[in-house]
Amino acid sequence: MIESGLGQEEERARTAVQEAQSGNAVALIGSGDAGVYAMASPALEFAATDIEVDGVPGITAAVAASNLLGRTARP
Amino acid sequence: MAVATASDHVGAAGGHPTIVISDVDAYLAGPAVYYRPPSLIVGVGSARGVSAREVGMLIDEALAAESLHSMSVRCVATVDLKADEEGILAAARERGWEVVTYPADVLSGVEVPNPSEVVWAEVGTPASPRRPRCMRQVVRAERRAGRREAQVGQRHGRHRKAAAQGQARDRRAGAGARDLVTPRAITALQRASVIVGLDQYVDQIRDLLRPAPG
Repeated sequence: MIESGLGQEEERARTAVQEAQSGNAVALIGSGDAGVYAMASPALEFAATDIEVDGVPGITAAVAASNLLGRTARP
Repeated sequence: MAVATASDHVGAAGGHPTIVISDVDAYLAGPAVYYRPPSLIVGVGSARGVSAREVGMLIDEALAAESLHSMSVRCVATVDLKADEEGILAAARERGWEVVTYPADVLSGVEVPNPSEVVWAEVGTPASPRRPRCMRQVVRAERRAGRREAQVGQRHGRHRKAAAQGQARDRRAGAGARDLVTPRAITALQRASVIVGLDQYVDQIRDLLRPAPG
């Protein structure tokens, strides 16, 4: 388990890539969707072709919130 | 669908279904979902023995005076000498806010519009190491009564941005809801031998992880 604070996003992505390069199965976690202003970009940037990067889609807050719209629009 | 933020949301959406991201307590005429980012910090100072009711009223008035929504309050800040001031603690607890304390010399480096001799807490700026780094020196509201005061400040920009994406560590519903985690994500977590993440997110999924080998 490798945890770090806000503002260390690039470092986290680098750490995840390094762990994967040394043979570990790594989960780099975030909230919402990894592709929406999140960790996918730095991770893909640092990853070379020697490791496989799988994106797992997530439900980002804007999508969750938009599904409340119909409900609030009805009287 | 439109997405509006604090600076432009009122009246801007023209009746379309809208997601409003704002700490301003104002409402559109049309259908809208309001997301209240945890963008505000309430600085509270008081004499000893203040009641929770007095502190609570003062905070409510300070927020109301500038039409700020209480759901956007991230925490109450005060001086560390007040860490056991029951009136402040109870007022914060009733509203579901945590209390954050700072040493007096940190707080005294923060400028306020109307400096007071009374113990006070206020937001700071990352520009000076003497000020709390997470805060910004923008005072949105201020209220005084007797020997009590409440000031509402705004958090630093980067945190506001994070909040707008539902990344805030707090109890509000949003994309942090456990039942919005997909089965695929849970499988991926359980297959991993190393987990890398922001501390507050790791906390949210710790119970989903398989036990460490051995």
